[in-house]
Amino acid sequence: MAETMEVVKYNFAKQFSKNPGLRFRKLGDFSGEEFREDVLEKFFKENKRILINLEDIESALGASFLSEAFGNLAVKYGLEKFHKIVQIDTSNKIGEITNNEMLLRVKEALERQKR
Amino acid sequence: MKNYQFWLPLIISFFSAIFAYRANIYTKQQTRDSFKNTLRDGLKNAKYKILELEEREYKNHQEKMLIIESISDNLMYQAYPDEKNNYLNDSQRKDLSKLQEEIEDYLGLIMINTAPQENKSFAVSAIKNYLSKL
Repeated sequence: MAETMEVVKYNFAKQFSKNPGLRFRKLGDFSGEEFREDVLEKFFKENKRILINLEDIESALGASFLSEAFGNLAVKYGLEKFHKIVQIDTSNKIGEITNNEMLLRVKEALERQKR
Repeated sequence: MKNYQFWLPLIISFFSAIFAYRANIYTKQQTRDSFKNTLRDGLKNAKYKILELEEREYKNHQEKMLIIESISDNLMYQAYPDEKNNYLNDSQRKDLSKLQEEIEDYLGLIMINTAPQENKSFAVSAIKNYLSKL
């Protein structure tokens, strides 16, 4: 029997920030580290799926943010589990662009880990 | 006479095909050069913007992120995906991706006023290093 998972819709701009920050907490607010530890990790622990909507953000999720928040989780939990839990809503342009960039950063993080 | 009527159109089409093929290669080369020049210009602009950054603590988060976003735009972050695939080799693509992350990290340190001169210098060196590989 197929596993059914609870899906939680997450409005990034309203629930986290319209202007996501950099890689580490020490570099300022709304960092990738903060998003990973305070938001994403809970979904992995509770085995729930997060569907991230980015429609209302003002500035893009940066390269270091994506690498820190998403790349590290893919390394920690494996790609299969990562895709089960994390999903970016690609029904809008910003979601589609960010999803492509996030997948690239995840791939690079996994490659770095293999070396 | 009949032979002449048969071969002439064939010869003309053959040379036309060669001409079209060469023109196509030339256009592709021009597009590749134009893309790389745009990237080089962007990288140089990013370098100047980093050097011109005020050495102070940027306390306004939105201001900080807008400056960083503008520099990331110069590094073609989240832009030109098809051109990057078509006109950069594997190593150039990976290094550009790595450079985008590195520059954000250096900017973060500069903007919390941690060794700003040193971090500016590291950022500029990373850009120059990439430019030399392009």
